[in-house]
Amino acid sequence: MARDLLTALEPAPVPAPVLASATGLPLWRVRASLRELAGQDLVAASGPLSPGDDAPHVLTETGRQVLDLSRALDGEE
Amino acid sequence: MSETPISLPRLGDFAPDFEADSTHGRLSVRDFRGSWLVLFSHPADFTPVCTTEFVALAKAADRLAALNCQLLGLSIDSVYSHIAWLRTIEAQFGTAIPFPVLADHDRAVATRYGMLMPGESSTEASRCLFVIDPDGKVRAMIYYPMIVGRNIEEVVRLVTALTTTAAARAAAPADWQPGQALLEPAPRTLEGAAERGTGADWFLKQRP
Repeated sequence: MARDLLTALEPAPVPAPVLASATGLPLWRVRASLRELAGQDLVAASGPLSPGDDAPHVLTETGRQVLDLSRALDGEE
Repeated sequence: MSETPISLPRLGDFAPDFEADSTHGRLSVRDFRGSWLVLFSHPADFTPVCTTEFVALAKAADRLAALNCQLLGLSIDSVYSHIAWLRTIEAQFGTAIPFPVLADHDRAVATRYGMLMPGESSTEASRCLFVIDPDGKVRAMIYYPMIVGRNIEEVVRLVTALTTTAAARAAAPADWQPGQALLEPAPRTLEGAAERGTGADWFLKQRP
């Protein structure tokens, strides 16, 4: 699931509701996962939004490295 | 007798916030914003009444999801116990539990939601259930004792009534069931009452 989210974030910043549609995951699960991934410095909120909004997220440099490593391990280089 | 004051959420208030481990990772009440949420507690894993409730709730989950309503369980157990119990339910009863269950080892969530009833047990949560709306406000609460399982059909009916009345800006009468007439809000002025006419209809008007 984490890799699906990282992949979906790869091309451009995406807010949680769009990620939920793209991955087929419940919105609550996407939000929880983004919070967890942000805590691991794999993703980051992109720009400030008013409280209650779902901020678009982007891959961090660490996130991109982890995604590349995951693909390499799966022979998808 | 405990001297710790019991604090309960109130209808219309924002649901107390939390972040806690669950069978689906770390969850916050904010994660459910935008959908209705049924947050419910049960006394303990691997207990008979709780098992029947979980099976019944799992079977109702699709109907609740159709109402844009998610389920979230909680007990004062570890996430490891939750996982073992949910796997046992699936193996023994053939019912997969599709909703997350919070592990509230330190009773932080149970305390904030008034789920502990020291007169019954200070180590286990009672059967408390909160319906939280898409904005995060508490819209209904049901408290059951530890020895009596909840009526899950009533939970579905309650959520259906809440979502229906919210959309229709009307009220649901006693024993209301989906498809039945709702009630117009009572007039708040003499002029409004006069427009309704006479008889019971002036304050008890059905909306087909």
